[in-house]
Amino acid sequence: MYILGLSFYYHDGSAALIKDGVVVAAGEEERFSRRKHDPGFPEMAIAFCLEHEGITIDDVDYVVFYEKPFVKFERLLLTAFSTFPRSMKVFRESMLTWLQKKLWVKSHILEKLNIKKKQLLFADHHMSHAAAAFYCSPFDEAAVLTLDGAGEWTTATTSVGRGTKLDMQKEMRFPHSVGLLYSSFTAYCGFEVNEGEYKLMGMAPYGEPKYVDRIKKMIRINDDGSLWQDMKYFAYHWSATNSFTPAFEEVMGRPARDPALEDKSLDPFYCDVAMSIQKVTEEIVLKMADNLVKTTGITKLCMAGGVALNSVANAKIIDNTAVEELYVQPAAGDDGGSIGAAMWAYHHLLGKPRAGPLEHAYLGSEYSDDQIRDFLEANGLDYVYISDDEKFFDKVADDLMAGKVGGWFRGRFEFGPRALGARSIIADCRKMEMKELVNAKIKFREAFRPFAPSVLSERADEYFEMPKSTGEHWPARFMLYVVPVKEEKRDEIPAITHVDGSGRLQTVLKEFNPSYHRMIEKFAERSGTPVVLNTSFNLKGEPIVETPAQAFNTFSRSEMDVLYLGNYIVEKDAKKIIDSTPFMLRHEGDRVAEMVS
Amino acid sequence: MFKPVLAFLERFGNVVGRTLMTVIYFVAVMPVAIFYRMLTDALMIRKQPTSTFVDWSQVNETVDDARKQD
Repeated sequence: MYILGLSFYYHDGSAALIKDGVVVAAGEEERFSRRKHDPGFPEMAIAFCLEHEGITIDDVDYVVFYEKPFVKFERLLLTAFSTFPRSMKVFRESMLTWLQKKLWVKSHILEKLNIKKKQLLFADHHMSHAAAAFYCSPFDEAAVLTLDGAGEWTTATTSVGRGTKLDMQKEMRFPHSVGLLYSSFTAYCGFEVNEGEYKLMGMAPYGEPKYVDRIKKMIRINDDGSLWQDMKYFAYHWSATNSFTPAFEEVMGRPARDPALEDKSLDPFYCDVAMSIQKVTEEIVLKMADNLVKTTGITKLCMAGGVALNSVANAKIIDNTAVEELYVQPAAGDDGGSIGAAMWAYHHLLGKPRAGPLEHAYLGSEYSDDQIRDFLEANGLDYVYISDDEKFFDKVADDLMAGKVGGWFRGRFEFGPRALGARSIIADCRKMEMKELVNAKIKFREAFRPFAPSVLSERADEYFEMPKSTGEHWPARFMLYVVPVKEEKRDEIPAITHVDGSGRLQTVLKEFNPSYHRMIEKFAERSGTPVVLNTSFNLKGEPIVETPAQAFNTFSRSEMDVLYLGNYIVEKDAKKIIDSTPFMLRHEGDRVAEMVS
Repeated sequence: MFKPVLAFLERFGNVVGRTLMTVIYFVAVMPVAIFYRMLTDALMIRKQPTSTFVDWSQVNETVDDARKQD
């Protein structure tokens, strides 16, 4: 049985295809359309999923959309009523979008896919998140926590998963939302909402949690972790442009940071604010997780929703709550809603048996050596081909040892926001200057942003203080843990050690990415260090590359030294721009009206 | 020649759409909203409960439920 899950018309549109409960293909539309966070109908992602499996839409039994559009519409109307007359602008803007697009989701899907009405199903937004987390996990029974900005009405849920069923228990409702609280501070610190949250998280270690008390004047965290926000400080429920009010700025003691500054200053005040909101977020998440374990008696926890991408909080759950094992889905945000919607229909609705956990995130497209050669030759590019894998990995390791920064393009691309060794930029993490070089000349992004380490799974304990989980460290394989680098190792791997001594590690497992694993082994043989610097293969504002042509263009536009396309090596003197390949940078995030609707 | 006309029509449509929404807001939304605000606290803005977790209320347990958009 094939089920196609879809998420779109908010941000990060995506499609996922499951076959008998196994995710066989998934991809975000942005990878194909080349528009960052593309919210549009995922036409190309759907085409990829079907083509990958060699089927047509006629072979698909059900198509499942990841939320209930009319419930969300009801929320927008009732919010406009509740905040009259201030909601005039947001009403006007969001109604136009809804009347033009979002109210017609059903007809759009039926029309574009040409399926029968009875084949189209709708899941609840947070049910999709919960399903993505639980059914992809290895647990037969688990507590499930979802947290994001806002779904229809829901902003957080608790539930219990057992076998094929998900029993939703509690929900927190708009406008009280951990995700929107965090986004409000993202905007206050001068970054775009639904885009700059990673920057805020990266900035936090430069500060101290000095303003937790000020933040707590505007919110109340209950004993069960639920959140109540005093809405006189927040504006996202009635304003089309602002997520907080002047009263918010008064409490914080300074006006909002000018967004035009981008990364041009690291004002200690805003770093302290970033650290303070990080601490508040952790307090909420840890309390919720702890309370859920206590009320259900289940110590295995699955998490999803945008807040589950807060990898600092994830690592603390294990050490600071009664949770013993944690699973976070690699595409924990709305992109993963497509997997969740499909999984929910297959297991919960149709009662079909589970087929095992989602062990890896390599669910996207791939290109064979023949396809890569055709591309290189068609464009007259000089290359070296090393057919023997061992010799090829030797060459990559030698390049890294020589201080080269390389673009690594190999296998199926990763589903979710992280590059996990299929579309990565790699470098020697023992050299401190690599951090500045890659940020400034290759990614063209904020100098304070950290890089992730890819470490051989079997040697992660030597370098990182892993949380005391009784089971496997699932979030680590998806780069969803930030943990301390062992003190004695910090000088050895400075380029990936953040200012507070932490690292957002990715453990590389041999069985799921043998090439990347072997390359790191070769690097370790030469350097003694089984860790490489890994960052996503894109420029700031660009979606991660999908095709060899995109990889080559991004390589050409940056100061990378060498490009590894499958077993082909392209050196930097071959750089040029292939004009026929689409290239677009998008630096803006969502407007506040889009963030909540 | 066709392109500028389309661009003009798009702009014109946007202005008309926005104007219409503003009129609807004050004609249709206002009367309901005034009473709604007085009688309910749907956003839990006024009260400060000891927990903002409420029981999950959505019913979406069968294929027929799932065919609905609400």
